[in-house]
Amino acid sequence: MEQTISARQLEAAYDAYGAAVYRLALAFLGQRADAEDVTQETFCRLLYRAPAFADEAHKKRWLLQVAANLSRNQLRGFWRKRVTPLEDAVPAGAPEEREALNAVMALPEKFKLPIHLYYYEGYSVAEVAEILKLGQSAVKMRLKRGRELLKLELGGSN
Amino acid sequence: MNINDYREAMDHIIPDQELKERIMNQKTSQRQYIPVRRVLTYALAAALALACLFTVALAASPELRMAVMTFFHMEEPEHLPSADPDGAPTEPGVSRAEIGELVKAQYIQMDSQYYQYSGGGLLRNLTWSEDGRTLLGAKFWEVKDNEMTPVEVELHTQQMDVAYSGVRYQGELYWYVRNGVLCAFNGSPFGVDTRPEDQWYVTTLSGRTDALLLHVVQGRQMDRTEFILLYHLDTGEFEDLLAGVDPSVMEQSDGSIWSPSASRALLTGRSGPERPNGREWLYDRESGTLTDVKDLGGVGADMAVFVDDDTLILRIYTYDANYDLEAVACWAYNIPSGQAVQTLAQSPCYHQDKCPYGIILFYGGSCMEIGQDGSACLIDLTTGARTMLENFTFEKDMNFSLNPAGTKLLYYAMDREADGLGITQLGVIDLEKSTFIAFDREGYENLHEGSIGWEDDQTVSIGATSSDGGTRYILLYQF
Repeated sequence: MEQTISARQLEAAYDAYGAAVYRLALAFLGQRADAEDVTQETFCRLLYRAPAFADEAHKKRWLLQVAANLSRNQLRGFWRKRVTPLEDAVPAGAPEEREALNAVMALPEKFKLPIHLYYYEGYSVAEVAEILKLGQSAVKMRLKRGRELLKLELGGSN
Repeated sequence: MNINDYREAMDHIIPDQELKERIMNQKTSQRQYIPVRRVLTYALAAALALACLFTVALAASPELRMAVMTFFHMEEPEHLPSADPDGAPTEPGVSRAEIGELVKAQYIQMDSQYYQYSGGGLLRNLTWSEDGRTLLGAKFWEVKDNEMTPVEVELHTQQMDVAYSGVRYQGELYWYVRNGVLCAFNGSPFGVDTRPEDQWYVTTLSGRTDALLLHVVQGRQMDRTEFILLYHLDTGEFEDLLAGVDPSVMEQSDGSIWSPSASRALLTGRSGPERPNGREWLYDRESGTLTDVKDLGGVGADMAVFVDDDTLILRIYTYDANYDLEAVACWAYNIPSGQAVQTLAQSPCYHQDKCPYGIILFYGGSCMEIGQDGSACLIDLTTGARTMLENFTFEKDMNFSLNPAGTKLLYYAMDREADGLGITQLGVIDLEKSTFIAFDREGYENLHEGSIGWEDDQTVSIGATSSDGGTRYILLYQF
């Protein structure tokens, strides 16, 4: 299969966005091994199937979109459903940080990525909609519902 | 504790350096890297495929082992269109959606005209004379991309004038063939010289474009009798399909159900004091034989259902004191050999209010058994093979409906608080592919959904209006 970018371009892309791709996958899948697989597969797609990007922001959105799709597919794998979704895969930190992380990871699947992309990556509703291939109203609804659930999970504090 | 805690926690998450090395190695390696888990998954999939074959073999054995079909609840919901606050649009509007890359949906928002699904993938709008007998105008559209494109169809017209058993039937018949499918309709079909209840109507035969069934009806309710003529569209000739039937049986029959090729029929008889469940006969056109369904295979069945030209499912019913269906037992009956094999032992029938578990019957070769814990199991009534629906729990407001070919089962769940059907979840069980998918529907509360069903073997339609009744919709789904 023909490669579409050079080694230097691949490394630059990984250095710039590898962590973002990995974090998104981890937020969704909750397991380090799965997140690593998705990250590797995402950059494999970049290597072999990269489209022409308008700019770096476009490249990042594309990578996150691929990672989101691959994460969903990973979660649909029949054997994947039989393992506990949460894993002690994150470094030790302040208790409130860990609790916040666990709360987001414990959200129902459809709320995790909108919450992560909006609140962590700082994307707008329109950009989240583009990345997740959802309507903007659906993104708003999921953010609203996700926030409501997080309030419950986080004991009502904000 | 707030969202900043999440941000800070995420900032601490850094992928291992080893991951970068793995990724960079795939750039320099001649071999494309495939994650170990994916390899394992492929291997496991191959093993599963073999296991499925083995399971099928087991299912055919007398000691049946249950197969499993996994319910796939799609993550992506459907977002239903919302009504224009200004009321019905001046032009029909079309929008499309692809739900989870598995289901194609088309939303047709009607203007002041009335559009119907017309078969062959077209919509139609018909204008009739005041007495409903003469077609004044017919327009057809193909829904393509986000537009309704007008199309011309070769619409044939036939002035019907048929005398049958002393009654003269007249009226206009219209038909066209599109994408290999015969589509036919008629005007108000009253017998001109006789009572208004003496009607006629047409139905098509699966796979045939050269002929259709003309149903001529006499009388109503307890006096209703229906005769069937095969109408050859190319020659205009009629063939009386029930010509060989004993007239005394025809006097007791109120209708007929035909096998796919119309080689055999089940004549349904009215119920009476001696036969409260009614009576049925199997009629074989070629041999001219007529057999009481009760005598088939020595089973003593109450009724029969065609699976194909040569196979019937025989059913025995048990009723409670209120004549509600209480239990059912089924046999597969091979017509040429006369052999009957029991495929369902007597089992309680599901009843929404009286019995929250048991058998849900479909008109065809399958049924569903609901367990007391809400588990659901499909039963192939031709073999007795059972397929457990994994990850699915049946609830009170869930419904199923078989398509005309008996190959797909429409599934929908309803919100009992909703105005209208309130379909919260929609899906299909593909009996041939052994798949069961469904998606949630967002925005159904803004519509009054009045009808749901199969338009053809592939297309599910929902008829709806906006909450204020000002705008009508046809929602079409292909799974």
